[in-house]
Amino acid sequence: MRNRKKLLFLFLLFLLLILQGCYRAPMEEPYRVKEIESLIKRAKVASEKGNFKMALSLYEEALKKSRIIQDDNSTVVILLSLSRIYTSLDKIDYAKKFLSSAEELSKKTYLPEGLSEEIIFEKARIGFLLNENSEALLHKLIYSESPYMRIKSLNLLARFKMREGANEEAEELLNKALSMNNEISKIEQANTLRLLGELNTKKNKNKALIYLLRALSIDKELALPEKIALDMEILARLYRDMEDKEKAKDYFLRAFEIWKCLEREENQIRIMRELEIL
Amino acid sequence: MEIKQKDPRFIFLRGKIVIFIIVALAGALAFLYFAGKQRGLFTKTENFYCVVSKATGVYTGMSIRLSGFKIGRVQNMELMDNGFVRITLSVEDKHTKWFREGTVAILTKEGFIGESYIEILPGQGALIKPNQTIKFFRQSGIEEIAAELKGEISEILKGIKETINYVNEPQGDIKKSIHNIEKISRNLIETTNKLNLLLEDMKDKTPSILAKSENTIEELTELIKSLQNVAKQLNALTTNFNEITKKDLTLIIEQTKRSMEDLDEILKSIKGLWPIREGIKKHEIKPLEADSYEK
Repeated sequence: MRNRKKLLFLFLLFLLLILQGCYRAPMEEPYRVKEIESLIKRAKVASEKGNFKMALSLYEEALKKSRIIQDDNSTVVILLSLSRIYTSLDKIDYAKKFLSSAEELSKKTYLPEGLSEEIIFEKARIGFLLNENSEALLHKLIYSESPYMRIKSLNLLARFKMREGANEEAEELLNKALSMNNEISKIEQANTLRLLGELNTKKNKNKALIYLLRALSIDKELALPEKIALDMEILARLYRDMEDKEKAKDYFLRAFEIWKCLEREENQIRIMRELEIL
Repeated sequence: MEIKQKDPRFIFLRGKIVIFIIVALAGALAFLYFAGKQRGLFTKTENFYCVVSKATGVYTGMSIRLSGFKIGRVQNMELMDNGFVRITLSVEDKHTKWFREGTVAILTKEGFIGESYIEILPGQGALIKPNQTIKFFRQSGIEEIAAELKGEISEILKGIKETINYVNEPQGDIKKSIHNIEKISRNLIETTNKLNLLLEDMKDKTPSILAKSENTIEELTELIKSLQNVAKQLNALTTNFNEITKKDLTLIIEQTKRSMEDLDEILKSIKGLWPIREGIKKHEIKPLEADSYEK
């Protein structure tokens, strides 16, 4: 009996030694991982400040390094971020290229659920911008475990529906997103309200006005100039339809000033045309 | 007279032997070829060198890896006239493209008790031609980390010991400060008692003060004088107390701060150790945020 215990102990020790021997140190070099993380952080800050040129160069540097150490997770994060920057810069072809690389890599490696969902969402979003039918991608995401992902997928799906003219379905989705969004994401809350405002511009102008003013107040709170300009443009159109030309003009001019500061010529021209008609 | 072989087993015996020998030779050659190929005997290689002061842990035949893949082996080690050791790294020709300016070789291990190997970290500069020397580093093993930690821990212990000795020294600043604080408290109690007595006196003497105005004025003057003295005494005591505590407190705070910094460093080192680092949740990097209404 005693010998059996000794034998068992020796066997376990032997097993432990084998396990220890089989352990492979991770291929990543810690200092390189830190370097990549720091580059990604700097790129994110630069992008948030609107310095896309700097953000692109930092992300590209991080991409080279993450590929050397075969850090697939970081590589996907960088590719996705690059795709998003190019979308903001209206270079959708580049954005698509980076997104498809991220997608390819995601098939070969294990990624956290959140990151895989972000890839799908981005695919749907680019599809929306290119007028492609990528609506089906969102049907899985609206049941995501992450409430934030659920809300933004509902909003994007509502935009698809609005484009198709299925306004009732869109309103249902937006109301669902609004009820779900209890301080989860203020940006998405403002997006939902803006979309609800847009939906109601024809059928119930007063309701639309309430939604849009709420969206504007949230965007002002968040200090997001692009969103504020968007809200103001939609509000101006609503006032124009309500035949309150003064307010319409005022909001158009304020939106024009913001687009001018952001150097968005296309948007400035659009408002100028609206003002000429007014 | 020729003896005719009638046993069927011996018919064409010579031919059979020749075929057997040919097959055996072909088999042996194929075996030698594949074994040689496996060992990289037919692979074209190029040499790179590393010069180190100590070659402990490096041995001939040790594998050279890049991102986990074997790209060569240590071919030779020789002691040079200046006491340094020259290690010859034999690298497969197709992998020489990774050897660029800034490339370093690191002697590392698979885990803490696993096999040692040389990891190549490629540089970013121009290509290095074969037969040139690259830098060589040694990754800290468990022994080095333990030795490093030992040094740090003993330094901290030394610091703590010094602090305790400093606090315990009978003629030291802290003991003196405590003694002074005790004195101040005693004086304060005495002063309060005096004040109480004075107040009691005032209470007792008020009727007579009212009766005898002259005496009252004199007594009041005396009282004011004594109060002034007490106030002066209190001022001096407070200044003394402030000076002492200010000096000692700064010292104590500085020492505590240093000890905390040392402890922080130790914790960081421990966090980096396997398997502890495996249990620490890694900071998750996230892509840029994109919302549903960006455009």
